[in-house]
Amino acid sequence: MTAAATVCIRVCHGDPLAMAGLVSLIGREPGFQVQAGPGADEGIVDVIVADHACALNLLASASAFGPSGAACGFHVPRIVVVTRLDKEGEVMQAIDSGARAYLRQDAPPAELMDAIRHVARGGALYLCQRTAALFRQEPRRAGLTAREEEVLRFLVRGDCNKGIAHQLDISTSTVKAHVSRICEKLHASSRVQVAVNATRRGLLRR
Amino acid sequence: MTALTPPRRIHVAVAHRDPYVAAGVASLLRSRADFVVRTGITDTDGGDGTVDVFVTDYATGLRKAAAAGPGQRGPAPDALLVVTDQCTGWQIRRAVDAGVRGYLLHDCSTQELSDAVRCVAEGRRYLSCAVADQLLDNLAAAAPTVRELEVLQLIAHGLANKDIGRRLGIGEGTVKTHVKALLRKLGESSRTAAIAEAFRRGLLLEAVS
Repeated sequence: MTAAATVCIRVCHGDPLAMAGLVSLIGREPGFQVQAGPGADEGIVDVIVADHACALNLLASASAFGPSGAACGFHVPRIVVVTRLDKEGEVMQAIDSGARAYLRQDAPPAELMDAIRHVARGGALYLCQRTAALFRQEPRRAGLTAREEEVLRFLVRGDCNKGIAHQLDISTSTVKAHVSRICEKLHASSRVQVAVNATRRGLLRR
Repeated sequence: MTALTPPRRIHVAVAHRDPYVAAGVASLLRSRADFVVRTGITDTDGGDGTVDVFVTDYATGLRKAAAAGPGQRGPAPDALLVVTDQCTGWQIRRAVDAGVRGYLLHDCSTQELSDAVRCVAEGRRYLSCAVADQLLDNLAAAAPTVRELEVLQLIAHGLANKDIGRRLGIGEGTVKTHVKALLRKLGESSRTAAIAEAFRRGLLLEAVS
């Protein structure tokens, strides 16, 4: 591929207004060819620009093919996430799932165009300035286990240990152990603080 | 069209913090014949009577509404239509109280956008269904007092009743009374559940401020 080659981009965004804006701004950029909407199996694109939910769906269905799919030449999409979701947990979820770039929707369009070129070239993870700043502020990810996340979900709703134990079919003392481990990981000293931190950092996956 | 007089074209200004929403709104409205769209304007522009509807984001909408000043009756020179994802009852209430005339959420359809712009241009209000729902819930619910809100903030910081009392210079018994009233007004039975409900209603903002 030469440097002057056209980059083919597909845009998938759940909000009709943002979708229209993305298509019109990307379409205006020289060297970019843009397609709108999901589906469209025909014609493999170089980069997919998607919102948070679309990106996770695409990545989940791509990974369902597994390594064998990749061996058969199945195309793993290079995804640039453009979203208003900007909490630590939301960003981590997309990156862990395999997104190649993460940009907040209020980042200047020039930054998106850079990200698309970078990802089309096969470049490493690209974060917009504000997302990168988020990780400078809180370099440590929460690192909750799947079980801790389950417990956290009930805790944030306001359930007591006994209620959580009943719903997860484990003993109360196991719940207590999970809760104190969660407190430690979130640097919180009370259940309420855990709930507030978890909500503000977006640690409960949708 | 069989109308005797051609319909007057609606002049719309678009200034949104989210560049894609701004571009999307502008290109969608431009594709319809009855709108004249202006973009690339700053906060301080407008208000000169040449614009019928000003489409903007939540923060800019509130700032412009505040600048227009209270006590204005009827449609302001540029009626404000906000497109946002701030969807809690209290945030909507604040915007409507400030004088915002139209309120849409980011996932609205293109048809709803043009309906809303026409509606606001005619001097009426427009709220999307989800927004109206939240606003009515807000009006129907008992509002916490200022003191109760102070207590709520401190609960959210993880303080115990005793520490809240010390911080506000009131007795622990008084704090308990406030907490009890908060739980009742939020319809919850535990502090943690009350905090979750407070986030949902917009009494606590999710962003770390």
